[in-house]
Amino acid sequence: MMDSSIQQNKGLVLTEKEAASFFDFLTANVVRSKISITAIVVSIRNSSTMREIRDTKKEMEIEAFLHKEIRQTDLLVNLNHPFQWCIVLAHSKEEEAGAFLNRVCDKMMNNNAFCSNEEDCKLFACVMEMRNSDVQFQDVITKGQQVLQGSTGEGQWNIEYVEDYKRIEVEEVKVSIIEENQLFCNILHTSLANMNLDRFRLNIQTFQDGYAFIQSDWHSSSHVHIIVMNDILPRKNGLEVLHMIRSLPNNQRFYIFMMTKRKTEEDMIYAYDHGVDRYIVQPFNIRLFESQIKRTLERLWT
Amino acid sequence: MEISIKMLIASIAIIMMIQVCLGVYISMKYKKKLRKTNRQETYMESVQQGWYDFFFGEHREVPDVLIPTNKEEIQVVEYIFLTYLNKFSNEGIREKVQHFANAYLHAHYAKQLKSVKWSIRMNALFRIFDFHIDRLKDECVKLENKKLSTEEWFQLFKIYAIFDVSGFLSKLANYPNSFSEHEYRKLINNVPLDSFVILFTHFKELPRACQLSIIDIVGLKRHSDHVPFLEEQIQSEDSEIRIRSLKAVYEIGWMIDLETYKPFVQSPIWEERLMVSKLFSRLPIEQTYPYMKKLLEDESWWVRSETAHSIARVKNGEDKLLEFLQTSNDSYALEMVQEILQKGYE
Repeated sequence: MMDSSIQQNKGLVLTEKEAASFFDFLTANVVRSKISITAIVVSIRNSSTMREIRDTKKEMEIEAFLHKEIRQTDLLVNLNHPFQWCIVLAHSKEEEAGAFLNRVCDKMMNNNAFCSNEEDCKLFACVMEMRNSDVQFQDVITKGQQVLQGSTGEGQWNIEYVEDYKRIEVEEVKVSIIEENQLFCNILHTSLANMNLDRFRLNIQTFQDGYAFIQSDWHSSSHVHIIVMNDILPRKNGLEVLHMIRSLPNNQRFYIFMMTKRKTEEDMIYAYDHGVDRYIVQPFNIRLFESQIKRTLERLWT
Repeated sequence: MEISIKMLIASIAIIMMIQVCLGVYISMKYKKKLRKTNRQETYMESVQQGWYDFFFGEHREVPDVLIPTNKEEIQVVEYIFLTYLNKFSNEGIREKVQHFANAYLHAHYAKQLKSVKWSIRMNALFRIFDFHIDRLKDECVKLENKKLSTEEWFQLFKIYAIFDVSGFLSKLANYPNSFSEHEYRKLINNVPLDSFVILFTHFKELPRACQLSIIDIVGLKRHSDHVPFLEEQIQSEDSEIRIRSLKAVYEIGWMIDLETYKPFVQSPIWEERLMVSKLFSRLPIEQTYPYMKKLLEDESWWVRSETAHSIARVKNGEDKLLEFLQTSNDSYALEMVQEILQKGYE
């Protein structure tokens, strides 16, 4: 199976045993890259009897068809149970998996001889999105098969969605507020600390000037780090801090909100060109600021 | 002249005594200031959450605990108010500050306005403006009867600009001294946008520097409803008013009528020709090209340069510049166009 697995830049086709280690590798990257993967357990049954089909040639045809449909980054796993496969879609959420299945179903209906007759076979699928790394491949397969067994088969194609693996571990996000005005600093701190976030725990620290921030080792960890700073600061100003941050390796984990009183378009263009993620002109609405922070955090998971 | 030893010792002793007294006085003053700062910091700590809830929460009533009871606490409240006003634009903050200041701080500032010290009166004027304390408007008018400095008059005008635009303009027209254009701009900037029509009505009565400032501010505010006023001013006999008005129309970025601005292509003043070439960049090049071609061959380098840049920026502009290269005999204009085509137009 492995020898014929790389065809026309399509994804791998593996056996259930082989797939476990690949699956572990993919799930280990889920938390770090903050990009979900989705597994689809697919079962094809006879549409009139709802029993399994016993036709080896047809099984090979369906497997070849599924293999044609997946991307180079995806896996197609031939499960030990006949007429059952698991498709692992990397970089995909359940919405993308749903769209993939709709496409596959349409093609099976319209273009393929093995399912041209509606009476012939019917597709059952169980979609499971994974957003944490504590998932074992065998558990996923077992869960998918259990769900499909209980599936009643109503409708033309039967797709079930399982939520069990979508739980995201609460992640610590560092927040630095660099602002000279202590009261303003405290207001921002209170506002951020009061934000209702399900998936993130904000660890907030305030600095009175850019130099104090640069000298601290607060920015050295690998956490996602949101920096809210004024452009004018004593000792090291905001732009100097910005240059320092953007010259660090792995600086993509920093999200920089630059607060300023200057609202000329040239200043904004300069700030964005040098790596600012959001340019906030004072005075600003604190609720809008909170929404911008929330949106930034939500976008961490794609 | 001889000084006895006794006298010398006595003098030294007196000087030392004075130094010691001075040292003790300074140290006491410093400690007093430190105690005051500590008290204010403690007060700030105790009220800042309350103010946060008041400004960002639903409550409109001020909790009693937030009402300052002495001068030191008022200073802390001033600092809190200024921070919220300067940093946050949330709806209601300005109104809450105004309501609170009218209710609980007006007596303090009314007293300050009567002070013989200039700095204390100035502080009151600044805060009346910052917190929009309209309850003290009459007290401010009464202040006019005193001999005031230019700075105090300036602050008074700032206050009138936010509360009573008509009164502000009539007082400004009769003010015997004058302000710089920069100062006028700072005053006009405080006039609410919906009161600009009053500015336009009284425009002719105002000093010239003030008129120029009004035109500049109209351009900066970028309100398309004000274009007719500016188009009226471009007919003015004063060339500076015409130039500033053309600039303001350009700043507003509103679509213009070619016929209104066409005569400026023939203007003897190069600044007007330059501004009109900028304005024409807002219209399709097919409409403006005959005029732009003339401006490309202008005697002024600035006009030629601006026109070439304006043409290059618009859609199909580069094609027109290439067409110009084929048809024109003006060597200065050709040189400019070639430069723009080679170096880019940013």
